[in-house]
Amino acid sequence: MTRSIYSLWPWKPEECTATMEPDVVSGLTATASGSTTINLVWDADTTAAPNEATSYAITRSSDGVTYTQIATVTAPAVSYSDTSLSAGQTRWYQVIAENCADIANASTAASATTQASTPTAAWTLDFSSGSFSGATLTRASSGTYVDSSGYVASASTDVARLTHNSSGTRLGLLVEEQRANTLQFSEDPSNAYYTKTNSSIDNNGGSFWTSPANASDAVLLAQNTSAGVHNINRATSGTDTCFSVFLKKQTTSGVGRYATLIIRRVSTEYYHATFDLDQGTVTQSAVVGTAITATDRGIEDYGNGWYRCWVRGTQASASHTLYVSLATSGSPTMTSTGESYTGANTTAGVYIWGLMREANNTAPTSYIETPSSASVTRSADLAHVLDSAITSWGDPGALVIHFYPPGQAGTLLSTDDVANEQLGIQASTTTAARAFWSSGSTATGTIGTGVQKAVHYWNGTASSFCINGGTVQTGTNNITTFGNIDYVTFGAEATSSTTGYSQYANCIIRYIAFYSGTLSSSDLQTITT
Amino acid sequence: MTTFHDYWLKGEDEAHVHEAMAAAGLGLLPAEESSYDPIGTIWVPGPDVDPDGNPIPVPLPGWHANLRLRDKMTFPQRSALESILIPQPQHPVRVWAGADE
Repeated sequence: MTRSIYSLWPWKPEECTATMEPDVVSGLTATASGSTTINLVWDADTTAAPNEATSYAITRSSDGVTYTQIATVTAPAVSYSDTSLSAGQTRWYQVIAENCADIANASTAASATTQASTPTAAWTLDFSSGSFSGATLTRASSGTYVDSSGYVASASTDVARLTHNSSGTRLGLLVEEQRANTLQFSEDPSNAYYTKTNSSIDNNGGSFWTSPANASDAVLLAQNTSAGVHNINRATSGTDTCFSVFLKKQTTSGVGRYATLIIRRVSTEYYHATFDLDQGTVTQSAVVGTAITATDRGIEDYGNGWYRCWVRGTQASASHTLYVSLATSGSPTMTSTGESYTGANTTAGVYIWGLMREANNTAPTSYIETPSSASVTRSADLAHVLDSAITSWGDPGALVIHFYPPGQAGTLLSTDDVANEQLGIQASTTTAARAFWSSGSTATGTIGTGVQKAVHYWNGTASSFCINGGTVQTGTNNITTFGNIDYVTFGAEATSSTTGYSQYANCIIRYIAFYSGTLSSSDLQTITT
Repeated sequence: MTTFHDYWLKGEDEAHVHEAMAAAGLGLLPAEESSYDPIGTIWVPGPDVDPDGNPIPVPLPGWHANLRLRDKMTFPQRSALESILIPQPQHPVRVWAGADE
């Protein structure tokens, strides 16, 4: 080992009381911070007076062999930050204790590597702000979304739905498959289409209440003073059912705070879930009997006290009845049509709006209004970008997508299948995602909550997948003529240029990017972190 | 707002409707050009009730679908669909979202 120390040493001034060198520095650690800095820390000096360290020489090496002093730190400080580095550099360090009498031997070396530089995307689409541009979206009907004020709003045909949360924060582009609301008069529970049991619909003297759409069209489902269940219900048919409704508390306790949704086949076969509209939680749910399977429930905050509550399940028989039943607590004693109790007055209840039933056993999609005695179909979103619009498109390359956990298993992003060569990213369930290509796929990675970041990288013979900076998974692909790809589809899979789209994930896409050129596993982790 | 052309289809069964659409060349239209809503069998409350008193649904004859095209159907297409094209229902069971806007 060689070392160049540019201090003048040894030189002992007359006032120096030390008689020998300080102890060797111990406990040196080096930690990278970002792409330009490595932080050093070592143990405090324990040399007995008068030989304690008065300063420390910091030496650095690029090969672990040849060291050069780069700085001096005055004791008792025991740390140093080397901020003069570049991305991806590995450096070794030694620290040497000094006093006026002599210098100690160098400490044991410690090393660290600065973070690699973040690869730069060649092309991006960012749906988290601004207007929709750079891609094509068509939809053959209107569709609802949440606007920048946090209200349910309607987008006309072919208009992209850039949706928000209840606070008005932009989430991204909403892409959903075709769905129908098979219930009629979705915003008019007073219609005779719905049966009211020991309850009535109060429209506030004709003034109504403000709904999640910021319109005066919400009503109150109010109990009466009879003993028994207090509900609104509607018989329907079909095997798969997702029943959703917007509800808002009227009071902070008892009836007016809680409601139960029920999918009921017969009195011995039903699924129920009770919701606390004060806390926005599901407080109780259970399946009774065996006829209804694959059940689930949920509640979503729509702001201003409104929640969208839902239950779903599959049943073998076609006919069943959907209920919204008032409850006195979060854990009511259930019957197949709700909690049985005696109403104390005729004014307590919950605000109700937007009843919807989809013939699918998945989480609910965006609300579909049914203003008359007809069910209503929202057409599918068809979203894609031509490969010619993607900068530097080709092999090797990587497609990146930022998305929110999808509403159902499906495809988040895919290329078309000209020459039977296709690749993309799927959510194999709502809790896992993977890369896929024409001849196979990777193992799954875990989807968390909030914004998810995933990448599919290919180099012509292999594919790699990474989500949220986790372990990179690889597999052999058969992508040999990738230049034939015509377009990239979002939120679904374009099975061919003529037969349409399929495998919808019913998801919100926040950002899409294409990276051109060779990427390392570390790069894939970096761009998904 | 884009103008669409809506058609109402009713066949003997699903196969009948699909065969007629294929004959009209409508089964191969790009997804961006057409939207197809298979309604299927229409069920209505029947005269009988189940043990809980709910009317037991009964099927109406026929198999139904709605079709929405960006371009007006051509004469040959309309001819091929003649056996399943029906007039716009006075009280449709299913409509497209925004149809009343």
